[in-house]
Amino acid sequence: MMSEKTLLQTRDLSIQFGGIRAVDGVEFSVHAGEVVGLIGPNGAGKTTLLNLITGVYKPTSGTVIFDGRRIDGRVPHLIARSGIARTFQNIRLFRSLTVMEHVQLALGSATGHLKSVFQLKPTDHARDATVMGSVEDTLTRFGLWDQRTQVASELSYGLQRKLEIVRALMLQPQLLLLDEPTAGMNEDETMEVADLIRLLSDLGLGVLLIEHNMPFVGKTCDRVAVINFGKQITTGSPEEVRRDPRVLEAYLGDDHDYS
Amino acid sequence: MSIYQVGLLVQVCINILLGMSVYVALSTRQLNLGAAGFMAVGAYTAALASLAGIPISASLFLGMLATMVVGLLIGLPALRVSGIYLAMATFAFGLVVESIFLVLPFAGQARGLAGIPPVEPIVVFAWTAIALGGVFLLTRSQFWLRVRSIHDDEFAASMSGLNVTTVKISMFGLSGALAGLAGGVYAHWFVYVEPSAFSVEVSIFAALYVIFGGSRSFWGPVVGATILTLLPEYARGLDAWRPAFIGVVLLVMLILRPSGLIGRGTSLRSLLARRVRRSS
Amino acid sequence: MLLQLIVNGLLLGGIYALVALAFSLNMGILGVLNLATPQIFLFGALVGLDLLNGQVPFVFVLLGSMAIGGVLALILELVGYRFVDKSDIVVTLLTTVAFGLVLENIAERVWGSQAQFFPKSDLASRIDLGPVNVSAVQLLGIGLAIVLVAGLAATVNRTALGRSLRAVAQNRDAAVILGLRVRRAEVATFLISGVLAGGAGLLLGLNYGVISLDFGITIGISGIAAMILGGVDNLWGAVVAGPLLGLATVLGTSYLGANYNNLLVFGLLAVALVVRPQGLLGKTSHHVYRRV
Repeated sequence: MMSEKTLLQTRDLSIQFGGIRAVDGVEFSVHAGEVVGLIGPNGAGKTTLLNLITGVYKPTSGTVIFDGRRIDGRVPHLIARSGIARTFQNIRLFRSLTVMEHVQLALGSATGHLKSVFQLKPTDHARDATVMGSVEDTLTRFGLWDQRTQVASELSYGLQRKLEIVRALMLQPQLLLLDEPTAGMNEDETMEVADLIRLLSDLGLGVLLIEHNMPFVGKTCDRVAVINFGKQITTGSPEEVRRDPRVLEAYLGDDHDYS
Repeated sequence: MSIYQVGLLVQVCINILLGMSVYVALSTRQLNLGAAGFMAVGAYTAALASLAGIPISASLFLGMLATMVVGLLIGLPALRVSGIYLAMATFAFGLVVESIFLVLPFAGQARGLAGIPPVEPIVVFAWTAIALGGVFLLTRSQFWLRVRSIHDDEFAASMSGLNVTTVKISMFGLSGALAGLAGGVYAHWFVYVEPSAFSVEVSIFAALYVIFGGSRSFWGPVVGATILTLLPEYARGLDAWRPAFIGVVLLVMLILRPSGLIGRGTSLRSLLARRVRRSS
Repeated sequence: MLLQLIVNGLLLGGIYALVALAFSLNMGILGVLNLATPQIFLFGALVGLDLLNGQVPFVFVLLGSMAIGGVLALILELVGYRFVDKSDIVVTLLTTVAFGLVLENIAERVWGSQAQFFPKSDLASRIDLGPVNVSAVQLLGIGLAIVLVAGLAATVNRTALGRSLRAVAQNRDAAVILGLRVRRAEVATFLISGVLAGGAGLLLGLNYGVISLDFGITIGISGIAAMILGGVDNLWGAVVAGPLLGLATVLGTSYLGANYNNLLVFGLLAVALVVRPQGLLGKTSHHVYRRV
């Protein structure tokens, strides 16, 4: 359920690489409990936008405001700890770490290094509380509980994508940024993820979602922002966006069925 | 046990510490080819301290401390470079240290320092055990999870809330400290230090122990240093061909099993079980 | 006096440029720091020495040194580098180290461990050019450096081999997929760098008049320093950095003594690597090939 609380707000956000404005004056917001879709052709600047929000890049102009405070230009790991977590377009898991170790790492990320030196693993985190219940509950929901001692590189592709989401959740975020979370998934897996995302938004998380799968976007998103050549084309409900001729033009003749 | 055998064991300890020094830095994907430089700092610091009357163990500790500080100082600019450039920078650092000790007046310059108080073997073994024990416990801690995650994907680790910078710098400090201890032990065992003892070869061999023994496990440098130190001694026949022998063995290893002898996640129990099974 | 030192330094630097090129080829195209190169210098010098003692005409001595260098590098490629995981810098580095260990051992067994002296040769004698004098060896060094770089630049820019070299430098996997003759490029790289190293070894040996077992390492370090200063993947950078380094070395040794000079050079090198790893001529100047 969407609340009035604005989690994320970008103002005239821009970044320039050499002569190219990869992101140009983008303005949108994400509220708690809301799922916002970010769509646009490849190379439109969507991932760059996520990088700006998470501190990987410093904007050349404009601001990013999270939970009432400016975060643009802040160090990525601090932004991650302050409530924004993300997944990646190309899976970036820790190949040699098990599922459980991914969880442990993210859960404990706020602990100081010195303290972590004296914490001998393994400690059982199954009962630890997360937004979705306990760790065990979360892993079970994502179908990863039975695989908890398996090394990430041995997981199936679909489970790897899910583990990325789980890892992000273990940072206890208020805002979740998902970069093409269902890329390469089959129909069933995609629907599972759609349900999980709706569940997360019901629990109060804000979600910003980059996707190319239009039915998926239609099913999960409350609002959609369309980006092309770094500029924001339009923002609105999935229905409105679907009917907007500028959006179709941006995709240059692709006719995507939003239903 | 003969004095010769004890001496061999001490050499094994020194080499294990050197290998461990490279290992901890390599665990965060930082190839430290300047182990000899750190070793020299530790050796000279400990030697000068002992010559000034400080008890040996305290000198060893001081040597470690000094080298750790140097490691931390190097660790910061080291962050700016990666891969082969970092390796070359640490390599250059090793050379710089050797040159510094050649010109420092109070360090004896080319003549080096002689008459260093000798150390009892048991002290060497105790210090080695303590240092290794500490590193072992570290690899079983939550902190090591962070190290491993940085090794696998530094960017993702950072995006998962980890301060990658401080982890990498502290591993460099630890790398320095371990090599510094190796240097202190060396100085007090051979009771004489000179700059040429801390040559390029020392740094290269330190890296060799890790790659040969296994770069993804604590036991890797232990096994690697032990084998590469003892094997040539027991293959007396090819004494004159020792370097070539090591070269060939290393080459074969790099081609057939580049991760080294000990694979990732091998516990002591499974290691011993394997040995027992083979001998019975 | 100062002028003579400057001339000596610049000309010595010509030979350093050859050394830097040997390293730079491997680094720039293959991304591997070939630490067997110092031993290849050594072999070039030792074999050349034997040939000179055998009254062989100088041209053939030079060719012989270059040939042995090429052969050794070729063996390294065929027996070692070819089989290892090229994406791991530690593995490729230590592969070359392993080979270097074998070579050094062989050199010690065959030639002994004492210093070897070069016979008095016309080439090392000084030719007067006004206020300064130079030796034929020095001129040969810088001449060869320029000719070789020009030849290399032409090869890289205009031939099919050159194209595959550049492709491998940028993205080996893509080059493989595109069906380029990657193996041929890798073998060629090692071969050429070996030839350069062998020749440089002979020239430096003649220049100093004496070689010892650690001769290769000392030159190697200077060569790596020149390579880094000039920009690791920059051919012309090596040609410029070599003489600069030669100049610094000669002047430094003259005014500061060898030890302080080393300290200065290595210190600068360490700083340069951290502050400007792309070298003096980094990305701005001629980019013959680029390593991603």
